[in-house]
Amino acid sequence: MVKRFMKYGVAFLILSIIGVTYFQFNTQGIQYAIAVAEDNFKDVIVNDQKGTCTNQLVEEDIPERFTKVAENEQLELYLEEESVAIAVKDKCNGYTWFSYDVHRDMEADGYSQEMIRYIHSGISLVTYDGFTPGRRTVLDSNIEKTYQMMDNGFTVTLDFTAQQIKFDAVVTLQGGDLLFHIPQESVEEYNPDLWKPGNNNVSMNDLIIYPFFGSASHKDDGYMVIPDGAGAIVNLDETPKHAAGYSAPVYGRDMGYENSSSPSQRGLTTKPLENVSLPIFGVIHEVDKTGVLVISESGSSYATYNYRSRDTNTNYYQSYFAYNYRTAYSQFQSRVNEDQHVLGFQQKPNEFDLVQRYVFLNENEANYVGVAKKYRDLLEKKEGLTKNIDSSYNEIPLKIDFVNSEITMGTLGEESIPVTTYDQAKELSKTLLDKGYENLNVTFKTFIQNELTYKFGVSEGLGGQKDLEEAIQFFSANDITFNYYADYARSYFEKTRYSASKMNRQNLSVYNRQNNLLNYLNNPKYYTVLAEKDLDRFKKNKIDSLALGGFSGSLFTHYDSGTIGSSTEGMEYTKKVMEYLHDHGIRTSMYAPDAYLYRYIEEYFDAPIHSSGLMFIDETVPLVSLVLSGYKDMYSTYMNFSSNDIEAKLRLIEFGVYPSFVLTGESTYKLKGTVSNDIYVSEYSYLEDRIDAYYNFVNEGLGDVIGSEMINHTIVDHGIVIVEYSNGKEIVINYNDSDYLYGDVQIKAKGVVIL
Amino acid sequence: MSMYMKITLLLGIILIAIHPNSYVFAEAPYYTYTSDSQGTIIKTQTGYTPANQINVINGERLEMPEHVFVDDEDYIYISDSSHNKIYILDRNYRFYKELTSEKFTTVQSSFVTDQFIYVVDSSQNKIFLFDKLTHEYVREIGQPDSPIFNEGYSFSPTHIAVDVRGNMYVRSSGSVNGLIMLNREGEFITFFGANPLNVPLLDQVRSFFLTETQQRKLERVFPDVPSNIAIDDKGFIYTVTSSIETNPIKKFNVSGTNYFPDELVATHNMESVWIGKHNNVYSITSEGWIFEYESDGNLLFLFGGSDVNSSRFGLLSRPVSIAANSADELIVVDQGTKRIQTYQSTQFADAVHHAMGAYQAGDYTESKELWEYTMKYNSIFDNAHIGLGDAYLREGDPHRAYEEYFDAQYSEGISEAFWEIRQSWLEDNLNNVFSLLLVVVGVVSTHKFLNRKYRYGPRVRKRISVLKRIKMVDDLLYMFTFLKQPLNGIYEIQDKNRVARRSSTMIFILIAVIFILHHMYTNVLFVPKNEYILYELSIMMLLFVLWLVSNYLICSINDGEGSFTHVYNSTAYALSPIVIIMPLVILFSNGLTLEQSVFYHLPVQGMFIWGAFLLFFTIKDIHNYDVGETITVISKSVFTMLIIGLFLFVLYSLGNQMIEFLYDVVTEVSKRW
Repeated sequence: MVKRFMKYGVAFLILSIIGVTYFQFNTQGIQYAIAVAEDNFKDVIVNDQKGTCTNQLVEEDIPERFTKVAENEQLELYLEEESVAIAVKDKCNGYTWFSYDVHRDMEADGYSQEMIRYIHSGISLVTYDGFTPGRRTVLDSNIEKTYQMMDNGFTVTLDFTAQQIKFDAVVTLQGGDLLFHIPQESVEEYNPDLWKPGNNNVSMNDLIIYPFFGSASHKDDGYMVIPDGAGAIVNLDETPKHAAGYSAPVYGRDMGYENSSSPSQRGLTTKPLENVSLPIFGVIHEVDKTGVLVISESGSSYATYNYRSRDTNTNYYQSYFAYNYRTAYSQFQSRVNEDQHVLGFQQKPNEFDLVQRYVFLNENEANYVGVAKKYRDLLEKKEGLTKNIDSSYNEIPLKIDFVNSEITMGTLGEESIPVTTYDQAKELSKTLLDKGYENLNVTFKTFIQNELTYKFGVSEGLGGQKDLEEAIQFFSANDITFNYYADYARSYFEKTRYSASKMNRQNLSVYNRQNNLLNYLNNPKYYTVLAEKDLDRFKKNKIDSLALGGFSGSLFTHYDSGTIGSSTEGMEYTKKVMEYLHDHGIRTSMYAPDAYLYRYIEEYFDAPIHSSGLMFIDETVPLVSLVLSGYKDMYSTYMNFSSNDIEAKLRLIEFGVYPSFVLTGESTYKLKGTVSNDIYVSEYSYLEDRIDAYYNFVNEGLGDVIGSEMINHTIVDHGIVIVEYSNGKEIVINYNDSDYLYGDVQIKAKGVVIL
Repeated sequence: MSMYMKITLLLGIILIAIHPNSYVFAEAPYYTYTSDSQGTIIKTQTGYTPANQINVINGERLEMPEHVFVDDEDYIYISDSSHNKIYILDRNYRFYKELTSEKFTTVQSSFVTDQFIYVVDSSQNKIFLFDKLTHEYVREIGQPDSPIFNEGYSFSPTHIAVDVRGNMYVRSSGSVNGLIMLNREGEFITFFGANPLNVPLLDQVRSFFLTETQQRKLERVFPDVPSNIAIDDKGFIYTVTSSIETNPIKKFNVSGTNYFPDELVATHNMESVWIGKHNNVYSITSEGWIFEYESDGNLLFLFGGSDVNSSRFGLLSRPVSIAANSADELIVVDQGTKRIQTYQSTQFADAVHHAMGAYQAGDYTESKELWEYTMKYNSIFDNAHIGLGDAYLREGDPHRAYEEYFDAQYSEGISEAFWEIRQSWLEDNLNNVFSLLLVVVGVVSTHKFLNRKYRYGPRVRKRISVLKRIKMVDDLLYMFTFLKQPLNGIYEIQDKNRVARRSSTMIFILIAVIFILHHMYTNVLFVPKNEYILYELSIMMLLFVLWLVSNYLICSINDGEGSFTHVYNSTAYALSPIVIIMPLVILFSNGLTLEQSVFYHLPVQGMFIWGAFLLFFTIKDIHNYDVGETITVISKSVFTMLIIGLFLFVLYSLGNQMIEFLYDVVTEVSKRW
């Protein structure tokens, strides 16, 4: 009897486990499949201004080992066949850009042979030799280079015969642009025994594209434009301010390859670096004369931006992108013992078309403003970036986010706590309206207990359906822009059935430093599914605008039941959900969107006004603002948390960013122990004075340029900045502690003057 | 002067003091934390922002900066052991002078009084004194001429602090007896402020069994040696010990009593300690975390963190020393990057400091204004709420004080404010209370009178007794009879099946409900709010079931007469005091303050004793045991509970492993497809 029970018991146990696992992994039954649209980079020319420049630069002679392979009205392309190095001559100003410093005898400078090969080589391939990465250049032995010349450039097939890896590089001129292209289908690891047991595997890791293009050891009037945060510049001084390197993955780290990190025990952590949200960098050799903008146009989610100052590895300031085709990850063999793991590799390299565009800048475009504006041109011409600016207002907009509800651990388990009822939100908005802030932009943010994320939901505790309707009614009657906060990209605390897996098949968890909690990132294939589920309720509640959070930092390579999802596909899924929402009449604004999403946004929230405070930079510049100004309204991060109001206000004016605050109807104490535990002041009664001060000050500075585009930005003196707008207004900002005389205009210390 | 003007003025002073070349407006590269009144670390507004970096002084690049000291006039003394000199900067970080001497071999640190500059040379084990103004050599202090040092106790000074009388407290490497205290002549006085010896438990047990000779052969355990010292103007000596995690910072008075709390929020590797002008205490860890404490050891600000090759302005690599000047600017020596990094305090931190100062000085109105100002930047800063609560209390506004204290979960304050509120309520409502009492008395006597006259009592009772026909109600009401005559009650339950099992179950459920209510509605002074209790409750229920089962099992093999139903029922009724007393206590507790906590604790304890007493007699009488047998049975039952518990635990962990194993197999296989 007992035996029989045991037998059936065990059988039942096994069956139930199989059942549970089956359901766990096949909840939706959605296939991971999306076609990545072919990149139309060949149809677009960014620099199409023909003609000669007024400023002619001294022509540098191009060594004879470089042969001219293509020419058009704007550029000449030269090639050194042995190294795939190139030189590009800008006909407008006569300046020649080299992919390495051709005029120096590097051996005499004391570089090792290996280093010289790396500097000269146009493309370097980083491989995993077994488990260890190693760098190879096209000047190493056993590399077959087959050239095929074309009218506008050349194609070279690079075959690393010893490693059995080959790919094509296509370099072409297109107007004033140079295009570098590695077609996805040409990338081949043709070792038939690769990944077979006993084979000494050599596989692709990174490709480094022209790491010394535009490099310089010193330029009196030149700088690098770095896409860190809001944007930053580094002067090409003879002695670097701080000799250091900096690497930052474009659009954030690929968390699919990373190991899980758990929140720190005591909640202590340093701030993460600012995101690189623009896939660009710029090199200006002479301000207002010559420069180059480099855009990672396709494959940008696999690109890593790199900066090296001189006196670190070489004598040169460098900026370049490296592209990731494969990263080793820790494959754990035990769920208990973290030490027990081997390095795991994906079978096939990441699939993406690598397209990098070099836009040559001359005349008054050869500066960081030109870098931003040319990139904007690309977005406009290629992706159809449009202007979404309402310039009918006389006063600047003010953004208020309400945290409506959160969950916390109560006496009897998790409970939802109302923090701002619909009615309180309405009343607070009314108070602000009565103050004369007529251009309000309001967002509701509710944490949904069942879904473990911020989404739409009507809660009785907040006043129920009727109060919500009344609030929405009130907003539309008073011309208040109303958004609902939704995060389709992540959940908090625990994984859900939408969560993705890392490459090592663990849950895709990410440590959120902001609130010291774990996030589980959703599989991108569910984005649209989640939006579909919400759509009816949006319609029913007359919600026509979403404030989407979470899409920045959510591009990753991941494992999805047998296949590998790439971040390129992730981008495609993200675009798909945006299109889906637009097709159904939902406007979308976003928090800190990556550049590939700019065309889908109505408004830009959490606009960066800082860079990461890197020691080697000379100035922080409004690169993102210059790209989007006049096209999208930008709102700051919550100014509740600014520690230096005086300078933050000046910075908002300088960057053309409108202020934003987060408010709650109840005490901020209620947010303790919730997801919003990073908010430490949110009551209107405490913030009223500061909101007024921000609004009035920024309104004075930006009130005259609503709807206009920021067309120029110059740092004229230490702490003195002039910003020009398309309507002819000029804003002069003085950050210094003493008054400043600009022409015959006196600008007060920490003051602003509009001319 | 209005608040804003004060703040502006303050800011103005600070800004003037700052190096003119400091226009770097960047957000701090770190988050800033503080601790709430419960000691939990939470985020707060930035208290300090990075200001300046210095790596070249007077044309020389710093090579091995070791220590920084700031004197009363804000001159900054930076010791560099590689250049073997002390650089002196003025308050604007401009080079002022340098102190060199051919006597120096390894300049480790300095201490500056009104008269002298004390320079510690760590390779010569000497302290050199120089005249502060002329930099003339005065004398040197070497190893004291005292038996303990002559017998080989090493004198290797690295840091010193000097009190107003000129006594020196010397931190010496490897000095397990603590700081070495010397008088102004350099004669040894005593050891001071040693850390307690922490012998591992295993060693303690082992040494118990060993003979003295064997013990001597064992490796000796020494107390941790303090790493750095500081002294404040009241003569308190502060030590920091980097090798310990609990209480690394201690604040000693002359007699060696530590004034810092035992539950100090701190960490390993705290290297340096400095006393600010508000008697606030700064410390820094070698990982780059900067701590600031109030004078009584509460954490005020915590920020920083190590810089893993990201080269961010304001993060540190391997800091060794910290100091602050009178403008609350922090000066940190970072040996890792060979730099001096300075930080300036924000408006928020200034307001916090001044509010604390005003409060300590007894200026509650000003402190209130300043605390209110800090609320604009951080409204969940417990210190501010407590400060405001104190101010309101002094102003005679206990209601607002209560709210502030309640927000900060500050029990003493809540209690005090509540006392005031209750007092004034009683004063206002004493008349009403008495009138209410009179009315009640009146109603009762009228009822008695009328009842005597019209005899409606029995009729009403009859009406009500209809309810009694419901078994459950009747059974529950029996509780009172049971409690009045427990022995008789047990007899009735045993022999007459007086109560139904259902009713007992009801009592158990009621007890569980009361447990939850107790946590939700008892005065917050006695039971903290919002604590997750379901886990606790389920453990209690499990224990209870275990007890019932094991007690029943044990009794049935020990000639016990009761059936399981009897045990079940009588236990329920034995526990019924909880149902009767707890609701009253919960209600009553809300009118109590901390001073009257005895009125909360006494009934609760009485209730438990009563319950235990009843339980004992139910077991005894249900099974018809004598007292001795009962005690035996109870201990046996407890033992059985342990055994069953152990068995369940083994079963659970084995079963868990099996399920995990099966899960792994299935997952593995399914992922292969």
